[in-house]
Amino acid sequence: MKPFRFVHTADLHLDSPFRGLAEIAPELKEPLQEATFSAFRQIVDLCLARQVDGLLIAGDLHDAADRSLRCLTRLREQFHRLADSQISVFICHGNHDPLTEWEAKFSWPENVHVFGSREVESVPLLRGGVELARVAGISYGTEQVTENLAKNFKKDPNGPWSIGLLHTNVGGDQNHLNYAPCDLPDLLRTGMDYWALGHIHAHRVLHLGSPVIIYPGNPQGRNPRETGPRGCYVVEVDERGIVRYEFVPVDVVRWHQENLSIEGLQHPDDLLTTMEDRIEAIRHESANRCGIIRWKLTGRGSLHKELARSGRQEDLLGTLRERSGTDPSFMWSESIQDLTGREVDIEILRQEENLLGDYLRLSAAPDPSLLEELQASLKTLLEDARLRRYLEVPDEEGLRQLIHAAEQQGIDRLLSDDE
Amino acid sequence: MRLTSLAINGFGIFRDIDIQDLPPGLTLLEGHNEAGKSTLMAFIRAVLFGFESRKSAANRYEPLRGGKHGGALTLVTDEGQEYEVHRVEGGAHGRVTVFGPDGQRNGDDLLARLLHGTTKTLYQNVFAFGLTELQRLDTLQADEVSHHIYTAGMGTGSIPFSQVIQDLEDEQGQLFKPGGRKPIINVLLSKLDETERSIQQLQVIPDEYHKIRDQITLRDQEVRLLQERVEGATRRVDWVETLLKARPDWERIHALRHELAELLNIDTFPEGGVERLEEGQRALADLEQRRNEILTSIRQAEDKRTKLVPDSSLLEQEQAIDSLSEHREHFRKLLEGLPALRGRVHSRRQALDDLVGRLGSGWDDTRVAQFDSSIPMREQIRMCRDRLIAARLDLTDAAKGEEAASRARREKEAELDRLQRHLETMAELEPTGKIPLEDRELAFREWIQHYHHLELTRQHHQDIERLRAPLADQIASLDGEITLLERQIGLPTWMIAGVGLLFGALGGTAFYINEGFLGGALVACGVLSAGLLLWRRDQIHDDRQRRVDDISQQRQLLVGRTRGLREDSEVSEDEIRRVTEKMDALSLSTADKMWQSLQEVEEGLRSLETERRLVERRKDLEGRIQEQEEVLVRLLEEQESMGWPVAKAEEALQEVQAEWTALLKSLDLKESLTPDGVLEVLANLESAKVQLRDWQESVEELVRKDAEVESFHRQVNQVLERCQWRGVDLSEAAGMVLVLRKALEESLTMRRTLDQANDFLTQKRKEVAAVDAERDRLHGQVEHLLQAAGAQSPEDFRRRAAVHKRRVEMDREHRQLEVALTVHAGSAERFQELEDTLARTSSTDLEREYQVARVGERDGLVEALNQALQEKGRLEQQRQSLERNEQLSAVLLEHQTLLAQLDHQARQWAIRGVTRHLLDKARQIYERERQPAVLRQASEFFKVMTGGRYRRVIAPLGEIRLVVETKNGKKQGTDRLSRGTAEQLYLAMRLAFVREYAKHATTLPVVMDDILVNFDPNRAKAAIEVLKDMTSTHQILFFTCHPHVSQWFQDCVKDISVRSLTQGQ
Repeated sequence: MKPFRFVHTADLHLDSPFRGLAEIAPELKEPLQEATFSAFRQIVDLCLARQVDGLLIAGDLHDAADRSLRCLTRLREQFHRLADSQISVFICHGNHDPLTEWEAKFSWPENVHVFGSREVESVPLLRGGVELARVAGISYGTEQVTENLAKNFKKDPNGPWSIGLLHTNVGGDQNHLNYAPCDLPDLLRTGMDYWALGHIHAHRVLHLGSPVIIYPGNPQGRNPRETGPRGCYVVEVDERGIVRYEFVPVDVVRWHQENLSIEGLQHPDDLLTTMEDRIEAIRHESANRCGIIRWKLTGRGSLHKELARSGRQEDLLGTLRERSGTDPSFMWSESIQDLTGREVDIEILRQEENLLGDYLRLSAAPDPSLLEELQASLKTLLEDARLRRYLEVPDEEGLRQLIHAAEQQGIDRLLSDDE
Repeated sequence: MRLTSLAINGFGIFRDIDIQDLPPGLTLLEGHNEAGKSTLMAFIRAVLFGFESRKSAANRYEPLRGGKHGGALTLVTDEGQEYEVHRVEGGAHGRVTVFGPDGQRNGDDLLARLLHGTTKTLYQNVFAFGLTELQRLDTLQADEVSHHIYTAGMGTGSIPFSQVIQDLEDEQGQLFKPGGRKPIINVLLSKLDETERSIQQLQVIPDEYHKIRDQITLRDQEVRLLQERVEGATRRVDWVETLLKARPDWERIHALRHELAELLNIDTFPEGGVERLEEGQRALADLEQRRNEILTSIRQAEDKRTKLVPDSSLLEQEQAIDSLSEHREHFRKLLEGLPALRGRVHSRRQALDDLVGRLGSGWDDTRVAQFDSSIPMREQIRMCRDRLIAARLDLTDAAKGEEAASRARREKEAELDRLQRHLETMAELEPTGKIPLEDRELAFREWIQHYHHLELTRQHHQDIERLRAPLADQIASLDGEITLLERQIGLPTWMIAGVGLLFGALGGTAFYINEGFLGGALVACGVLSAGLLLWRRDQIHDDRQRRVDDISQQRQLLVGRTRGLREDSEVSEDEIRRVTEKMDALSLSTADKMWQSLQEVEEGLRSLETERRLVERRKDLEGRIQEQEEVLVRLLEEQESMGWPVAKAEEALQEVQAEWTALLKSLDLKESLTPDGVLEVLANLESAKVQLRDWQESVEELVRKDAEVESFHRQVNQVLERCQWRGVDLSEAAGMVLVLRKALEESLTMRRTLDQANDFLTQKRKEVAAVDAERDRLHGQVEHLLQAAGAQSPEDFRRRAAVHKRRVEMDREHRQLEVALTVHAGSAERFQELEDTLARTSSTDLEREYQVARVGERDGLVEALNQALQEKGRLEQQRQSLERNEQLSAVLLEHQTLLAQLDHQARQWAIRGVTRHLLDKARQIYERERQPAVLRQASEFFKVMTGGRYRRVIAPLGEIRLVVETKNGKKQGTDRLSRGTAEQLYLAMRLAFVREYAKHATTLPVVMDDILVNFDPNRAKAAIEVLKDMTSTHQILFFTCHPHVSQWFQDCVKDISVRSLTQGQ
């Protein structure tokens, strides 16, 4: 066989909005709206730079529910760029962009092959009319596919080196919807040489040997949980069919979760300086990429009182944003989660035979009936039909987090400033 | 702290009252109405906390019966320290003086410290109260009281609990209200509704997009059709337009063709002919002018040359004159210097003659020059001088040496003589001992040794003798003792039998007097005593025998010792004898007499020492004499070995003197001269030599310079002669050289000018020849040009040139027009068609045709096409704008932002909700389990006072009110209690507070003014029980005017102190 190379990506979610951002500077709206496109453009640039033979996209190119026209036209533009360099594109649709009538209405350039949803198809990956490998794949026909699609794949024993392209949840990852569920043995049994998967947003190599099974993750993180580098895989197959792969980050805006302790910090300026130093470090670590930082402040210290003061956190965010939040390589401090506490020993307070002691004992070990009562007390908010659409009754874990926050609130409010 | 006494000066109805020895526990003060009970309580409050202000005159208790307003209290602290607090008139609230246990006078500060900062209000409300204060609940609600009752134990510092709850509720309300509009979450919901509507609207776009795409396809087809038709019409219009535009050019072409046919046909003509002809003619004229100018300058130069004639003879002497000029200055200076030089020759001669004369007769220039005054010669003379001096010095030294040696010899001889005399005197003193000194000393020392040994031996002998003397006596006494012992046998047997018989007799007597038992006993005693005596006698006998043996043994020992001592004594006597003999022998052998004592021998030893010193001194003297003799001999030997130095020195001096005389002779100088004199002659001679050399040098210089001057003068006259000039004197020679020089310069200048004129003429003649050649060449060219143009003359040439030029211009225009029209037409064929058409049609016809094609057909089609394109463009724009529409992205982002905010705010709401709920739970626990200590204590007291009808007093959390709980657990507010029960509750609360206050601050005396009046007897007695209980920690003063109350107290409290008050007494 002839050696060849391809790029494997998935979960582009083009033009789908960033989630979890409570505030955005007007200057940042455009770069954020463009981020998914920019990341995809970088993938195409990568294809051209590495002179690959094909680009494999394993589903969720966009969020069909959003019906973004812009997204499809942009896709077409990029596919044309690939067509100009004779690079084939193989697409299977996933749960976010099932192959519906709406999808079908769009015509792509000839270098693009979209797999149908009825059955697993096999198409050749060609270079100058010579078949380098065979790509088998299947699209979702509807949003919710509960069938094990992997079982329908089978490598042609007489056929060339084979790639399976599928949007699936292997092994039932709890953090993702369990669509087209299958497990590793299902994939191994098919005899494929490479599995180009999609659906799981964190990139990972599921199987190192033959076949190599990879989730490339989404190339651009879109919510606070999707932190760290995001990108795609460049895969090289040599004449013996041996695979070498490389993860290449292409994200343009990176999410960061930063935890800082206020212990030992005396002055608000110390905190600001520490945060700014951290921002610079992140900037350096992420090779000057734009970033969104969610700060979590912890620890007990004298700064807690300052932070608890009304408007202080907003001021701090304001200063951080002013200094580094809106330039072309911005570091947007998205929010500050204040989990700090007073410089008091809660455990000692908890021991005390007084109201505060009672309060802290309750918060430390709420019994099931108290949890139920608390849950019920939150219902007021959810009696509003509209709010029910957006919010959920917190589960036990959520409730415990609320109790933890309430504990500090109680201390702050019951203890006078001079104590 | 408690009160021990009160002393009132003047307070209300009281004047000069003393109440002493108040006990620590409960004191009952009885008194009828107006006896002054309330005044007394007011007095205590006033002394501790100040008089009431003058505004409330009634409570100020100004003295009604005279005396100074105020008085004193004596307080004893829990630690047993006594303080006296005085308050008298002064300031608004009186002036305080506190006397401490040390008698020190203090003021308010100490009082405040004693009271632990207790305020007047607190004291009045809780510690010293009457029925009026008791009945009022609000007196328990003053901050410092209520804190202890209502919030102590909350652990909440200064923030009221209810405020916390209220704040949380408010904050939740600001976040969200069901059905509200302004709270943050409600606002967010409205905004979310808006964005959702926008999203729905924007999501319709794709359908619209597909419609537009179809329309664009239709428009595309229409445009293509129209474009084809417009193209056809445009082609037609363009042709007519071309014809119209081409007509003027086409007409001009016709005209040109006609004119060309009429003009003289001159096809060829020299390129630039006219210009070239004119240029040739102009050049010829220029040449002619130049030639004339040159000829004129030649004539002028020739005229000038004839005037130039240089002096040739002078020029021939140029080199000689140059040389003379060069040396002229030197010559002049030489001439000037000659008189001075001659003067110097003369003066030097005179000085030389002086110096030669000073040397003496026989000296002339030759001898001066030849005399050897060189450095070696002078060195020789100086050496002779030094040797003469040295020889003379040697002579003097030798004479001195000889003198010193003879003096030394004489000194030594005198010393020797003195020593020998001394030796002789010593010989007279010397003893004449036969035995050598050393032997005698040895004998002395041996004798002394023997003497000491003898002394010791004698001592030893005496000691032995002293020991021996008593031994004989001891032996004699031991012998006596033995004899005595041997004589004593022991107790005689009769004595024993006697004792036996005595007892037998007594026994018999006893039998006899019918005392059988006594008799038996006496007989038994007798037998026993006899037995005992027998046993004792044997024992004594044995002892005595042993003693005899011991003494015999001792005696033998003593006899042994006596024998030993006798032997020792004999040995020492022998030793004494032997030593004495040795000593006698020694003394006889040494001194011919017997030495009698140690002193004598020691004296002998000392005289031996003197003798030895004498011998040593003599030996020393003899040694020195020998030494001196040796020195003397050595001196004589030395002198002899040295010979006689004076004679030698004289001989050497004579030798050197002879050498000097010889040298003088060799130099032909007087023999009387000393070396220093000769050196002086040489110094003068040296000066003369220098002067002679100087004189000779100046004479030579004069001769040389005279010759130089003469030579120069000769050369000048030679040159003058060659130039045929008159000769000059020596004095004029220098001036003449200058004249010659000037004349030569003039001739040289003239000769140079002449040469330049000749060169100029040669050059100009060459130029004339060149100009002539050029003129011929130009003539040839002009002729050639005329021939080429076929012209007869220059005028003909010019006419033909004008015709040729015109033809060329018309040809060019014609060609240009043809090209332009061909371009217009599009091709050569079309040009032909254009010419044909133009030839056929008139311009009016063309205009008409153009109107029809353009307006009638083409413009209409273009209009329709533009419209179609516009429409298509509009659709295309729409499509692009839909494709590029970022609105959806923006709204989706906005939507997500709002959701994030909603999430955040909902969380804030929830945190506050949870906090509130937990606080409420904690409140319940607190109310149930953690009421303040005051309330717990009050509950106890209240329970006792009400006989168990009520079991608890509760202060609902965060509220300033009380609730009581019956024994059945029923809760009710104070407003529903009967007057008596309420008063019991308030009393219980106060007493509980007093107790609590003691824990945190201090104990203060409690004063109560008839507060039990509304209590039924049972509850009153129960209350008194509580008060009794309180007295374990607090002093209580209870005022009453009711005898039954007094009686109850006395019934309940056994050791109660009761005092009566009557009308201010």
